[in-house]
Amino acid sequence: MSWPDARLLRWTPTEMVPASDGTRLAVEVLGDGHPGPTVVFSHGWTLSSRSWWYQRMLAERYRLVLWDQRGHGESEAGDRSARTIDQLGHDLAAVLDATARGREAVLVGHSMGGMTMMSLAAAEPDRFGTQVRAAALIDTSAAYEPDARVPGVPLRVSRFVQARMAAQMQLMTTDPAKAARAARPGSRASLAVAKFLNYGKDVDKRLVAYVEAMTSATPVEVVGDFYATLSTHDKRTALAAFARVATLVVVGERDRLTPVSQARAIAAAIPGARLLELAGTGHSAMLERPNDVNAALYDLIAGAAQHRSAPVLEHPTAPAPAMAEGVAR
Amino acid sequence: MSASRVAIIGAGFGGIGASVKLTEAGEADHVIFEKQHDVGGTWLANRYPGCRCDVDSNLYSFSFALNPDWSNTFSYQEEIQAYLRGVAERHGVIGHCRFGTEVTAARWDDDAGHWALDLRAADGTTSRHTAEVLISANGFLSEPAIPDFPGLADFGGEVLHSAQWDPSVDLTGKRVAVIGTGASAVQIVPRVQPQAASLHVFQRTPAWILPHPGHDVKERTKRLYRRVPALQRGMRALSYYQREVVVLPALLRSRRLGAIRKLAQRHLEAQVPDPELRAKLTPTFAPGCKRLTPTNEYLPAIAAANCELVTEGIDRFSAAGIVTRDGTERPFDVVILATGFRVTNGTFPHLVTGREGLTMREVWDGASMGAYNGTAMARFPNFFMLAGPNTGIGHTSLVYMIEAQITYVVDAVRYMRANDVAAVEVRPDVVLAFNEELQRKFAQSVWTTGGCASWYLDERGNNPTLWPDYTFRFKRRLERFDAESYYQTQRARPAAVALVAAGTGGGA
Repeated sequence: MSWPDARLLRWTPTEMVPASDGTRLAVEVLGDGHPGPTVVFSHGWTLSSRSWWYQRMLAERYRLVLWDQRGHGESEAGDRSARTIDQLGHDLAAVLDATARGREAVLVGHSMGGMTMMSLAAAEPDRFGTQVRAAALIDTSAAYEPDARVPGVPLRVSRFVQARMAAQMQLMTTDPAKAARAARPGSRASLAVAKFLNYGKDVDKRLVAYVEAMTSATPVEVVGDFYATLSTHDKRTALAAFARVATLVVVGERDRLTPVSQARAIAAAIPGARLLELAGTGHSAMLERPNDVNAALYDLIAGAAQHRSAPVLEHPTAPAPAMAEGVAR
Repeated sequence: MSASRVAIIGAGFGGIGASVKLTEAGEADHVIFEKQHDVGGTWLANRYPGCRCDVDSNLYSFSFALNPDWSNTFSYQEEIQAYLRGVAERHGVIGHCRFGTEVTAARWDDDAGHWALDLRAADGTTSRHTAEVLISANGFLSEPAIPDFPGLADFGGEVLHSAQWDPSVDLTGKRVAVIGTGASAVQIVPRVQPQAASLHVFQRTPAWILPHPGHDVKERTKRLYRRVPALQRGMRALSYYQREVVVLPALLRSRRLGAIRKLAQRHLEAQVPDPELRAKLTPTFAPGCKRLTPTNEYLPAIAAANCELVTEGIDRFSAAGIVTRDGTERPFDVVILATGFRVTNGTFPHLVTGREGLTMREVWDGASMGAYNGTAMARFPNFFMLAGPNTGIGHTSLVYMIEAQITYVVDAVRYMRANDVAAVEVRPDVVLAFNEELQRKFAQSVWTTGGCASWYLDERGNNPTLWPDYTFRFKRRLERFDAESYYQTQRARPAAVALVAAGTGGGA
């Protein structure tokens, strides 16, 4: 596999799935012939289904569904009032019904995508343990914590950054045109912000550019609207449903947006959940540490595919395919 | 039913060292289960005459407990056992030991999040113990390997294994056979030969015998060591680096083995005048392929008038003695099995059951024997091995490796406590990558290319026994517990409790 290529951010959906309010959601199905569970990937805020660049290779063994959350990527934006985390949960249900009806599923979510899964768990807990067999929550949070300690950043500084960010987000919702003019996609400042927020140590600039391009492609008012709903997100009680499935929690040790403490809180609230903390890694584990994340996903899916009755000691045939030099660490 | 935070199996170098370091780290809540009546492990079990360590004692001892009182540069068994007893007493390890208690099974209980150990006391009573963390320090040289020769059970004389020595058996004037020519045989033979009426040594393959540099330590030196401990530390470092820099590269890359061969051949020529016997005692494989055995007394004993070297191969035992493949029967009063240990096929792996109901043996049969850092296995949460797979060494002190592992395991226990982690379990992909890397490193080594079948190798030709690199690299690798190679389970904190905590803690 190669470095992610920002020219491939635009794509042609396999199908457009109508959400409960009629908004059409872009869905891509990969590895359609495989038996076993369907693995459904929900991406994070300001990103798109293209953030799963390195996870597409799981299609060698499993049926995958990649979808763009409303307002992101190729999906329609829908009505502003419906840009809530709760609605995203209903959207995921719609995607599951359209692409994996009658099939078992493994849910994988990054950041806001993880919150989407928690919303689904809150609205339809019975799906967990029945259709949904396993879940992976990557770099995400069960509840917004304004004072969450970010390693290496003094509380004052993180409060200041958050205040600045909130102000900018406010502008995005009140005067999207002005905010868009101020955004300057691809500029050095924009790249620096993308790097600071999304990545940990020693990240390649091509990964930074890729995420920055994805973020810049997300309409500013979508960014602003979802920011508002993220700050009221609290799905801690919904975590109970995850106890019925095999749950994997992944977090980058240097995650600045959803710090380790939040992943630990999730893992502590779900009996039997397994937590993987990746050293030197930021908020984008699936891009920064594809080998490790994919190996953990293989492990999780294989276990779920066998209903936890027969043990799986190693990957059925081989470990996750090797990455491009420099990505694999 | 009893419980502790940590349970340790075995009170040898590993168990004692782990207990000392756990206590130092504030983890006093640990228990050591030891099936023997005292500490010492292999240095208590092996009591055959002449039993001695073939690594110099300055190096073959704990780094935190150097001993200025070694009477010989290469100590004998009694002294090593006494040393271990002394360390255990000084550091308060004895109080943690339950002697005469064998662990007959260990099973991970995933719901409870602990290991359940079945125990059997010396008097046969059984009980149960639970511990969050299990450290197996039972060593790989602890289960005697008894070859299944036909007729062995019907043999009328005494049979002794080197590791199950019975000092009450008197060998004086007896017809004695020794089976094996490895590290323990070369130590036993010279002690038995002068006592026995006749001695037959059954050899399948000869070993490369090197001159033994051991000598008594002068009182003056001991005083000096006592007064200036740095001096002994220096001697220790010197020995360590000599072995690391000179011996290891030769073994790893099968280079400059000619020098070792020449040294051994000159030793053989000096000690065995008979060219026919010399030929029998000259190995065909490269030196180092099997463990190099230093001794100045073995070859003269073999060459002695009352000793015969039998190379025809054992066919079976009769009631009176041993029948070789050529049909010759030789009668014996005592047969000594110097046949070593079950290293790659021991019973211990059958006794330990991981998260999904598989034993270590079943896991290893499915893939290959191995463990991450020689210490941890996938599907075995909170389980750590000392002197586990691929931590053996042929050129230096195993205690060095054990101490490196102890550092790692104690750091893991500390990490778990500091971060509210209930369980850690190494990732299967990490184990796989680690083992592939190791086996690649064996490709050029003398153990793989040297042309011998040693106890280092398993039946697939893999080497699950030795560490194929500099030992300081092993130590560096294990300096810190690398949490990211492990899946963690957080200590349970239900969401409702978290909500309350957040409600009281939220300020801004």
